[in-house]
Amino acid sequence: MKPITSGWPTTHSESRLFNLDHTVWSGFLLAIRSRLAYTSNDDVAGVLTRPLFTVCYQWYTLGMLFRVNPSAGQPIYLQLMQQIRLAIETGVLQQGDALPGIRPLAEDLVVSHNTIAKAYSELEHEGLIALRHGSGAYVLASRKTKSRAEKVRVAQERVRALVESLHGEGLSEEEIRRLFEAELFYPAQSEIAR
Amino acid sequence: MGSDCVIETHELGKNYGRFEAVHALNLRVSRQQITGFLGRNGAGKSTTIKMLLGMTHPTAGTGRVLGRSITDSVENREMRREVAYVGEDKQLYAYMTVEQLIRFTRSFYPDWQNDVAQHLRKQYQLPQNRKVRALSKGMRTKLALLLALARKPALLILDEPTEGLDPVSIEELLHALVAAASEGMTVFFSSHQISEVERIADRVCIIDHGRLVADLSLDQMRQDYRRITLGFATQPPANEFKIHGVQQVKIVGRQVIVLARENSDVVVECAHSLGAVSVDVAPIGLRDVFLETVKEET
Amino acid sequence: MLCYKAWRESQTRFVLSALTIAGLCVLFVLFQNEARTGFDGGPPTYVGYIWRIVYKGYVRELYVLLVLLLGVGGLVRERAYGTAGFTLALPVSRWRLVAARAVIGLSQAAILSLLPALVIPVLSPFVQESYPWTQAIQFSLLWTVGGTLVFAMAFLASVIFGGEYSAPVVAFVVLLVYSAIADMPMLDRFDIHDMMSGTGTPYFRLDASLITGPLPWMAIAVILLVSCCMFVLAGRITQAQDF
Repeated sequence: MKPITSGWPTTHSESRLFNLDHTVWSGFLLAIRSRLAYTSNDDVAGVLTRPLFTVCYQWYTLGMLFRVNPSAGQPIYLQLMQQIRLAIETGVLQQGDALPGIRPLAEDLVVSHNTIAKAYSELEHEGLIALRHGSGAYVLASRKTKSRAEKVRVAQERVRALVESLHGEGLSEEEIRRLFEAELFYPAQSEIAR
Repeated sequence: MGSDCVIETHELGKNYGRFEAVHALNLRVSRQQITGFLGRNGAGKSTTIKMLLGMTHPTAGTGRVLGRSITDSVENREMRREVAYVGEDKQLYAYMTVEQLIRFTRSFYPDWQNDVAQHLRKQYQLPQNRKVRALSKGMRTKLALLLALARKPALLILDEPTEGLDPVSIEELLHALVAAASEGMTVFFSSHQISEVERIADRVCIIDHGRLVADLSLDQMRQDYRRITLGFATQPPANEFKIHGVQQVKIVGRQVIVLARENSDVVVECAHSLGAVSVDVAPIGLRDVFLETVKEET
Repeated sequence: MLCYKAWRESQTRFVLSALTIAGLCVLFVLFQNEARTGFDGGPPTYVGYIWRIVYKGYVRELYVLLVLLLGVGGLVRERAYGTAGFTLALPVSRWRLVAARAVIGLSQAAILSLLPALVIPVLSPFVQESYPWTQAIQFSLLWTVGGTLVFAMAFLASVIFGGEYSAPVVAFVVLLVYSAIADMPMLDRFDIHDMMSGTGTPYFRLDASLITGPLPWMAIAVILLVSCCMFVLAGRITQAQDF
């Protein structure tokens, strides 16, 4: 199984924030980032309350909804992998659920099919999904990831509360994002900066 | 790379009198990928594409498309059977109707698939009996795309396909390109819209003043290219960042800004060993890569 | 299908030209009584009238101009319209593109030259006159040859000069200059207008206004050869052009 990095130069591969490992945190980070990035015109309270509602709404309809940001500093296939991983670990995608086919998903997101193919291929390597030739991909949730679903859900609540309180103290979205990233990826460096 | 290349040029050049439109171009475009051809207006994108398709005669160099020489008119013609082109002039024969133009184009290609053509015609909502002169620019572009896609060509070359289109049409066009690529067609399109290229392309070739200045994979760019901003409390050291992959080092006051194509973690470690007080590592988007690359050349 | 495209591109011009020529012939036949009285030196014979009006005068000159306009078109014009890229991307050689346009244009010039031969002999009995078929056909042949030269010249201009109007304007100027020069006494034999109308030629009798002698096959061959050279030159130029 190939280890997948998030693409950031990592001198520390794990961060024990809220007792969850790195990969899940990257997923949250992406969710926070994408949430903040797309609602720049809203007021602070709107930013936090509205997206949560719409995100939940979007996740419960249409089977699965993905969002990728081509201008982010992360390859699109990695963004997609993180979203799928997060969905599996929170239980939104469960064992046996069908993922969209490579071609339909590529057309839907309007990104190259090579990107989708790479994401699915890597996830298959990790044992998270299985590719059936011709009929798409299916989730193979292991017991380990199922048992984490509850932990991840609780952590999600705590993250939301923390972000809300930081906003209340007057920090901007960019600053909050930077703080999370610094903590995640360079806990040593951020110590130097202090 | 040999058989994997659908387009390869060797020192391709085009002069108009003393003006060098294209100079010593060594382009490599791989099979079954979406490759973006990015450049400013007048950088030489259209000239290059026209040379590939035999519309313009190169003044230097050679090239091969689908294994056939572009400078030999017979081979170039054979190659055009398998290549579909959508030009930047979004004009088609104004006096023909949609159906007449489809029938006209069909007569040149034995591998034409009429059911695909009709399906696309309905999907793009192109009225059969409307004259081309009565179609909007977006509809003409869709018609051009239909004429290209109904043949399942091996290579699709587009020159500024989204130029002058409204956002909805742009989205539909990108969607069609992605669909074409996922059916096995190689897509090569030129653009000066960075966001579009960034979105759908697997690779990007950047051309400036007729020269190829960059040829990179977008995934690699997202993963490895970094702008590292270092702050020092004292006069920052110059010439300390000669690390493989560092493209540019700028010193502004007490800050050092390093642009690295790889090994950004090595740069960070180096900065720490030199006593940097703040380190900020940020990704570089295609827009920044493009602007930095073409600025260097001027 | 390239011939279809060439036809469609010149269709409007051709149809209007055909209607004009045919229409004029009809008018000149139907109103021959009134028209014949307006000539200096007394009313001519019917045959003489037809020759003066149609085969020497108005209709012939109009024919030359209309054929010149038929020469407009080609890739350079398509470039101004924006369709050159589409045409050149088709898997056909540039020679085929040039040949298709030339063939269609020449066919159209030939058809236009036949129109008087179709109208005048048929309609003349209705005004109690008659015009010999043989004469009409021979004039049509002479017109076709002359038209070929004019078309070839306009065709060559269309390949060299860009823009929508430059080519026909240049061709027209060339035609005027040529006509002026050919009017000079020593250059009579190179006057295509005279060849088409028969004026001053050995095969035409002015008093009877009839073609009597054998047609000038040598001159016709030379004219066709010159035209052919112009088409080949146009093809060569097209082959070497950058679009």
